[in-house]
Amino acid sequence: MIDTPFLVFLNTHGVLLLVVFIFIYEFFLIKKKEVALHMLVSVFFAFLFSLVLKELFLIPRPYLATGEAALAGLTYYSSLPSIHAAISFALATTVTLHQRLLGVMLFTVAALISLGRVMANVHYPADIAIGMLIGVLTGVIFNQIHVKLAKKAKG
Amino acid sequence: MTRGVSFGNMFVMGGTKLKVFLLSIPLLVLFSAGVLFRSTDRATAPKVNGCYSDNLSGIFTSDLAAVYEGNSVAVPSEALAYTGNSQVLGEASPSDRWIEVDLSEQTLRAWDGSQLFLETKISSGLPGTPTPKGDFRVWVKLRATKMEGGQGRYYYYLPNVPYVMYFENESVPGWRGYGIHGTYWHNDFGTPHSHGCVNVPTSVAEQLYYWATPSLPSGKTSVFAGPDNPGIKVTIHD
Repeated sequence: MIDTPFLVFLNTHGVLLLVVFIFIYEFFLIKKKEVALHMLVSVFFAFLFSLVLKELFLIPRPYLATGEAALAGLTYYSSLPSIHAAISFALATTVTLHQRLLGVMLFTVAALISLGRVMANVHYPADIAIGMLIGVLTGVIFNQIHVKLAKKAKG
Repeated sequence: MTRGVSFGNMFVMGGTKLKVFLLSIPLLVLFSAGVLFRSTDRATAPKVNGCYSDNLSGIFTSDLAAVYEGNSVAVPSEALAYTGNSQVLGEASPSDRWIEVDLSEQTLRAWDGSQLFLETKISSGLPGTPTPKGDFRVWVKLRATKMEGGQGRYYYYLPNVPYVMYFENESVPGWRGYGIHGTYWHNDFGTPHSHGCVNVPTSVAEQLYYWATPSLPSGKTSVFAGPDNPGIKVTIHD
């Protein structure tokens, strides 16, 4: 069921679409430019940090270890941490700090994305946990910095 | 307070710098764990050894997801196609045929006695994993095999490598896995790119495979060299 082309597409590029949709929504539709930019910064740093960790740990993905088929697209040999989880949770955390309801919805989506990556044999649950940690921490850290900067700007 | 600031009230109390630092600690721990992991991984990494394969049946597998230099690659249909070719007879007798690999020119020439059968650009071993030099004999021909090895970012997993001809001599035994084979994961012929094998374009590998000895019985996907079916001579030089 999970290997239908549409689900494989969502499982691979869904997270990017999500970021683009939320950015368009925040920036152009409800014009909360601050949230939109904050969100982009968090996502970018979560991505960057996960990439660095992937390069450091270099643990093979589960489908390589078990010999099962990979049911989602991937671009990297290394498993830990999950960039998908890091990005989606950074996004969800950032938005939650501004708009609670949308944030809760995004957390649900992030959990679904993570679940999909595990079901598709491209991530271990531990990768998701670390990715989640990175995402949430990045979101909160940039919120701190954001608050500080906002305060400074107000004098 | 304006709306833009009020959402983070609970975080504003206390030093922001301290908070950011405290929050960063788990990330820093993760990062240093990664550095440690990487350094120990490096120390115990075994040396890459040719492009050895443990399956000598020559039969295709259904696995089409290859990994090379950190990228995933799909096995192209060219590597799997059944072309209906069979052993080609040349001008000279099979024992006069030989393959010359020039590492400095990154060129392979297949000689039919004194006649040139074909010439192609190749990719030999990288400086860290050089192609051995000397005179060799092909000891097995495989239509397809899986090659796996390397460490970390240089890990490779290549199912269905097409048209493989493994060679050996007294000082480089066959189990080290040096050979000539088709290549679907890069297109860099003319520059060294391999883990010790001689990479040739798949279409050229196909011609070589059906031309070189040991001659392949029709319908088979692999053949071993023997006293009555000797393997072709391969000479590798600078």
